[in-house]
Amino acid sequence: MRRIRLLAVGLCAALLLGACGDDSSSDAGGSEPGGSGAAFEGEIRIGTSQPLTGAFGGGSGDNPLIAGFEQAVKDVNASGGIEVDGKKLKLELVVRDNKSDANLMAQQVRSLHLEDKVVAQVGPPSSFGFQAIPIVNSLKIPTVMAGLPVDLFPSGKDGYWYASYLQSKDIAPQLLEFVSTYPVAKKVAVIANNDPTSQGFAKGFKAAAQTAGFEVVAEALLPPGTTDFSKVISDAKSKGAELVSVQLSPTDCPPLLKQMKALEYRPKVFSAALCGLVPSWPQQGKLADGAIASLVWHPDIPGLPDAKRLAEAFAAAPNNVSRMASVTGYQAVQILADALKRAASTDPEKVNAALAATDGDFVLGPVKFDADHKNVVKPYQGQWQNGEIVPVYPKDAAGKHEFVYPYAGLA
Amino acid sequence: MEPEVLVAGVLAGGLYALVALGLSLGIGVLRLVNIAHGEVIVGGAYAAYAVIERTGWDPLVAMPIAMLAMAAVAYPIQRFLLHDMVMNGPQAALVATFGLAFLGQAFFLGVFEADPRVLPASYAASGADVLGVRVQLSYVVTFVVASLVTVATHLVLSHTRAGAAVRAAAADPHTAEVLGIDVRQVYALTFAATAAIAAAGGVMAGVTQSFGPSSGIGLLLSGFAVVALAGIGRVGPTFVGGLLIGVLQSVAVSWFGGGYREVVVYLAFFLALAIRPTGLLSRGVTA
Amino acid sequence: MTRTRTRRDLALLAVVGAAALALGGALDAFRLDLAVTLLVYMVVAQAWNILGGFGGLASLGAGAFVGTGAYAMALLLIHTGAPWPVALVCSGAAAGVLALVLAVPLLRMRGAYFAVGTLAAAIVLQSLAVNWQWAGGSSGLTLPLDEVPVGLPLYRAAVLLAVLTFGAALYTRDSRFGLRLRSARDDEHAAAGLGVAVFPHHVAALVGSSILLGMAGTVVSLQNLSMTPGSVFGLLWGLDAILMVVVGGVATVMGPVVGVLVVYYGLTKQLDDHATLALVLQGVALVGIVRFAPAGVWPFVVRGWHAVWDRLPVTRAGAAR
Repeated sequence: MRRIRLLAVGLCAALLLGACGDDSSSDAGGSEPGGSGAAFEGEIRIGTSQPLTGAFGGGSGDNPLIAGFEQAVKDVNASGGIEVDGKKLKLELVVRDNKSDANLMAQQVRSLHLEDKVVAQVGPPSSFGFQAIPIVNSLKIPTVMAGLPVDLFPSGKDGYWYASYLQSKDIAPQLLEFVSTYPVAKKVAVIANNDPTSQGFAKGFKAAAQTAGFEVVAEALLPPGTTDFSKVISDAKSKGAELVSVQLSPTDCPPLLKQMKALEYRPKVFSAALCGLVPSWPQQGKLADGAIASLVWHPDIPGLPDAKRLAEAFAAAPNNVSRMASVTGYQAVQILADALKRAASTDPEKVNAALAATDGDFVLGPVKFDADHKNVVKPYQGQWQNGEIVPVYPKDAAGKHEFVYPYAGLA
Repeated sequence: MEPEVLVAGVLAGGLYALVALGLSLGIGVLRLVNIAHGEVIVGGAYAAYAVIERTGWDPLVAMPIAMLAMAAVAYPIQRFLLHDMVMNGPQAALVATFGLAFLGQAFFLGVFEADPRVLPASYAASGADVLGVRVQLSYVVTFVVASLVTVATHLVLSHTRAGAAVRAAAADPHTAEVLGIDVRQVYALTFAATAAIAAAGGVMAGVTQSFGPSSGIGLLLSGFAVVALAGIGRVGPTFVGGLLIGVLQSVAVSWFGGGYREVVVYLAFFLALAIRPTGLLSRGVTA
Repeated sequence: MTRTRTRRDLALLAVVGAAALALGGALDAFRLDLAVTLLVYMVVAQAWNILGGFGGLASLGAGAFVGTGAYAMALLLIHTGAPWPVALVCSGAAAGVLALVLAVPLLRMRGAYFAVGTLAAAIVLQSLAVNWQWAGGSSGLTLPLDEVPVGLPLYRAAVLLAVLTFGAALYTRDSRFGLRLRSARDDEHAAAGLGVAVFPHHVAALVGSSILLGMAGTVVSLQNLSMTPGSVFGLLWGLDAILMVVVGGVATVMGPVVGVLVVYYGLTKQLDDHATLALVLQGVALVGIVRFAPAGVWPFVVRGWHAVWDRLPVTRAGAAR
C-alpha cells in the first residue's frame, strides 16, 4: 500500500513539473486563417476566455463575437501579419471556453498568459470583463475589452486594459430625445435585472429620464430568471407609463412580453437594451416587432468604415444584430493588432504603450483612448421591424428607414 | 396584498409542482437524486419544439409526444445503467446523472444551438378575467395540466396494481423482489414516468417562459425547493408545495422588491427543512 | 488500521509537504499558479470527503463556506489593515462559526435532505450577498492589489493549507474519533446504541470541514483578485467537490488527489475550445468511471496494482500482508 502511495505522489510531482506544462501550448484552438501566400516566419498569439457553453453560452459553432475575432485575424494575416524584430509573424487566436463560470474565466485569463504565453488578450464579455480587470492589471496583460459600455467600467488609468464601445449614459438621452418627438406621455417604467451591468444601465436611464422631464412611475430590479413581472406591469399600467425601458437578460424578456400582452398593458414605446440585442429576439414572432435597441453599427449607417465589406463577410449571420456583434469582436482584435504592429514587439510594456497611443479609424469609427483608457463610440437607435433591425435615429443615420410608432408587438 | 399577487403566485406554482413531481418520485421511489432532471424537463421542451416546428400543432397536442419521447429515453437509462449503480450507494448514481446532464446539454447545444427558444401557442400571451382578477391564460393552462397530472399520478399509485408494485418496490425492494415483483422493471418504468411528467413540465415552461440548453439547472433548483417544503415522494404535498413556493415568490417580490425573490424562497425552504426535516407537509416518516 | 501505518502516512505527508515547499523556488509563475489551483481543489475535495466520505453526510453546499471565507478575506483586507495571513486564518474561523450556527438545523437532516439543506444554505447566502450593498452587492468585491500575495508566498500558503487538510483527513481515517464517526455513518442507530455521541461527532466533522473550505475560499479570492456572489457561493463548488471525490475514491485519503487530477486534466482542461465535444466527453467519462469503477479511480488503481504486483514471482514470496 505504501509503495503505491509513494508512486502516486511521485507521479503527481512529475506531472506538475514536467509533462503537463507543454502540451497545450501547441493547440491553438481558435483559428487557422489562411494568409494569402505571405510567408510567415513564426506566430504571435492573442487569446480570449469566452463563455461558449453554460448560461451565457453561444456555442462555439455560431458565436458571432468569435466569428468577428476570426475575421479580423484573417484580415490581419492577409495583409502581411505582424512584424516583430524584422520577422513577419502570423497572428493566431487562442479561444478558451469558460463555461460561464467566473472561476474558470479567471483561471483561463491567467493560464492564457502564463502557459499559452499569449501576448495580449481580448477581454471576456459581460460582467466577466469587470472581474478580469484585477488579474489583467496584476499580471500586466495588455487587454482590449469587447462590447461592454465603457462608463460601467472603473478607471483604467495606469492599467493594462482598454475599452472602446458606447457609453450607457449616451443611450438614454438619445432615446428620450427621440421619443419626445412623438406624442408619448412623459411617464416611464424601468425594469432591470440586479446584476451590475443591468443595474448600471437602469441607474443611468433613470438619471437621464429625470433630466429630460420624464417621470419614473414604475420600476423593478429583479434577479435573472424571473418569470413573473405582474407587480411592475400592473404599476406601469395603472400609472399610465407609455415608455418602457427594459434591461433584462435574453431569457427574461419573452415571459415579460407575454405577460404584458396577457395583462393588456400596451406601452407606446418599448426599449430593450440588453435582450433586444440578441440575434434570437425575432423568434418571439409578432411580440418582438417594434422593440428599440441601441446600435453601434449597421450596414446602412453612413460613415462607418468598411461597413459593406463586413456585411458581406458576415452574410451568413441571421440578422444585423448578429453582424453587429461580429463587428464589435472585429474591432477588439483590430485595435490589438494595430497596437502590436506599432509596438513591433511582444514586450507587454511596449504593447501597453502602443495601445495607449492608439489613434485612428477602426470599424466602429475613430478610436483614441483617453486618460482612463476608454474610447466612446457613437450609438444609434435601432428598431426591430419584421425580423430585422434597422437604424431609426438620428435621422441622418436612419436614411430611408422609418420608425414604426406605436409599438406594434403588443397592439 | 392584492388578489392579483396571490392568484399569480398560485398559478405560477402549478409549473413548480409539475417540475418537482418527477424529481420527488425519483428520490422517493428510486432513491435517486437525479441531477439531470432539469435536462429531462428541457428535453421535453425541445422534443415538443421539434414536433411543432414541423407540424405547427399546439404545444398541448405535442405534449404527449414529448412525454413519450422522454420516457423512451429514460427507460433504458434507468434499466441498464442507473439501476446497478444505485445499489452501489446513492453517490455513484448521483454522479452518473451529473454525467448525463452534461450529455443532455451537449445534445441540445449541438442540435438546437444556444439561442433561447419559446413554444408558440395561441394563448401564450392571452389574458383572461377570472373572478375580477386579470390572469395569464398560459399559466391557467399550466395549472390545469399540473392538476391533471398530479391527480392521474395519485390515482395510478393508489388504485392500480402497477401502483401497488411501485409502492412496494419503493418501500422495500428486496422483499418486493422476493415476492415476485420485477423491481428492475418497476424502477425503470417509474423513472420513465418521472421523465414523462418532467417533459410535460418542460412543454408548459416552454409556453410560459423561454428555454435554452442550460436552462436545466434553474429548473432543478426550483424542483429541490418544492421537495424540501413538501417532503420526498408524496404526490399531494408536492402539488401544494409547488403552489406554496409560487405564492411565496409572488409575495416576496410584492413586499420586498425583486431582489429578495430568491432569498425568501430559499430561506423558507431552509427553515422548513430545519423545523421538519422530512418536509412540512409530510407525515413525518424519516427518509 | 495500525499505529505504524498512521505514522508512516503522517511522515510521508510531512516529507511531501516539505518537498513541495522547497520545490516552490524552482517553479515558474505558470506552474506556481497551476499548483495553487490544483491544491485548492484538493482541499475542497478532501474537506468534502471528511464530512461526506468519512462522515456519511454528503453536502451540496460547499459554496456556502467557500464563499464565506472569500468574502471575509476580502472585507478584512479592504476595511482593516490586517496582513493577509491573519485575514486568512480569521476567514477560516468565520466559516467555522457559520458552520456551528448552521449545524443545529442542518444536522437534523439526513441523506438527500441534508444535501438539499446545505444547498439551500449556499443559495440563501448567495442571495443575501447579492442584496448586501456594503459588500458590493451583485458586483461583488475586488481585493486591494498591493496587499495580496502573488506567486511563491501564495503557493506556500496553499501547500500549508493542503498539508493541514490532508492531516485532518488522516486523523479522521485513523483516529478513534474517526472510527466513531464512521460507525455513525455506517449505522447511526447501532452506533448510538453502542454509546457513540453522534451529534457532537457530526458537528466536529461539519465545523472542521467548513473551516478548511473557508480557507480554500480565501486562497481562491487571493488568486482571482475579485469575486461575485455567484462565483464564490455558487452550486458549482458543491458539485465539483462531489465529482472529484467520487471519481477519485470516497473515504480514502488519496481519492481526492486522484479525483482532482483526473477531473481537472481529463475533463475540464483539455478541450476548452471545442464546447459541445467537451461536454460529450465529460459526460461519457463521468458515466464510464462511475459505471466501471464505482468506488472511484484510486481504489480501482489500487486493485489493479495488487492484481499485477502480487502476481509477480519476486513479490509473492514476501507478500506477508
